[in-house]
Amino acid sequence: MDAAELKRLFVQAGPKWERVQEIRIRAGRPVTFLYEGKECCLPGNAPADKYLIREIMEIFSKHSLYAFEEEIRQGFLTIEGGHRVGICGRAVPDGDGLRTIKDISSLNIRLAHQIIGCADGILGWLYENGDLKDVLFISPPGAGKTTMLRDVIRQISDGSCYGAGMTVSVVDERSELGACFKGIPQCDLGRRTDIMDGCPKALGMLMMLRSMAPGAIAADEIGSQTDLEAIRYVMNCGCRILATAHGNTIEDVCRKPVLSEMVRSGMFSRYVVLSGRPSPGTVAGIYNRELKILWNP
Amino acid sequence: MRYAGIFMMAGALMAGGFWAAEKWKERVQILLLLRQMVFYLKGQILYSNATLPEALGEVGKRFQNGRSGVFAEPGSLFLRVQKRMEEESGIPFFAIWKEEVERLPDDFPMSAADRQTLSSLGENLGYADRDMQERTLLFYLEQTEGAIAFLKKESESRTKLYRCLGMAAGLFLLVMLV
Repeated sequence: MDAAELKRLFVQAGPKWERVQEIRIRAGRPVTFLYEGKECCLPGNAPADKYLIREIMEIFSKHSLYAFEEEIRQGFLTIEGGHRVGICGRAVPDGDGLRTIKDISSLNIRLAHQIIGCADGILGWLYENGDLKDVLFISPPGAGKTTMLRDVIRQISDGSCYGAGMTVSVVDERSELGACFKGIPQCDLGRRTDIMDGCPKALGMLMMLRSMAPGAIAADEIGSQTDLEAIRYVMNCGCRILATAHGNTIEDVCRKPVLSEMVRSGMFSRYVVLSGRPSPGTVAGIYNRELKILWNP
Repeated sequence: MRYAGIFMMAGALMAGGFWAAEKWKERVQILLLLRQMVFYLKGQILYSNATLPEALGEVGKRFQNGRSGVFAEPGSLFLRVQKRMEEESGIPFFAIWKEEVERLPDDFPMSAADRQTLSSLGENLGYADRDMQERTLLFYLEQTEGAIAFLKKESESRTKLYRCLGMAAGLFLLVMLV
């Protein structure tokens, strides 16, 4: 099977693209996709092979795999439209890290979706007396924290009944929040949003703070020590932080080395915990700085 | 009428000599232009980390604008490759590059060997890591430097030769027919 055949089979299967969450392609195994939370197969259980995977990688990278070297080392690449492609294969070690991944055998294509208005239900909890609070969104992978953060950024930037519009700077290290193409965001992040695409979070936050005079800075998937230091610096400058982190519950976050320090020192005033059940984006709870539950739907 | 025809033929032979000398010069200028473009392409790939379509588009636009005739052709080549890469993503880069190099006009001032060198540039571009891109581009530049050095060395004597041959042929015709 080649890429053209794969495309034809998808057209034949006829899923609504806005409801497809991810596509899994494994060498020697049938291609599957997650559709509204359920795993589906292509017609005839068509299996993929390593040539198909190689062709897909060439297409995704625009025949320029060298331009995605850094991302491939981290096990993924982000393609046009903000879709993230996770890759697996044979790792080539280099000291403590990886030089590259070769003989790629599995791809997990996670499709980015913008759901306008998905943050309507929680937006009021992120403000207090018209002031935006520092917010951390917590959820397991695929449970909708990036989609939720994207809509929160849009609403904060445009302004809402809870607060006036505010300049938001987005540090989009993995090009998922804005889905930038040639620097222009393809997702609506609001009229007062500036975006630094592909920039390491800690570096980008400090650059944005110095250059764009933001009211709030947003970043996806924080968790390293350098992130912690940059966030602390940004907060000391009176700028609000909107961020996401991996975790199933608030207790889960409290067990992680860097994130627990953020929680202990009360850096965030709101924690929004999301769950993938029954569907991505389900709010499991909103907590305050002292980890007291404010809203338990 | 007869004399006018003879003078025109003689003039044409002389002009042919000058034309051949100009072609030789154009070959040097085209190679210099391609060298400059590949330097710029190298910057786009290594410094801006641009993908091949982005880099080719940027360089192609820059080197096509303000140029005409054969000197606009290398820029157009880059832009054609970029367009096809975006429209026909299933076709490998080297195949598109080779096809487009082969589509250069027949009268394009480039020797068969230089065309082959340009065609080979596409074979390894886009493959493997950034070091590989750099080495591939440097290899092309090295080969081009060699061709430019040869053409420059030969340039003075060849242009003189072509012009002299053209004039001699014209004068010979005049002497024979008048």
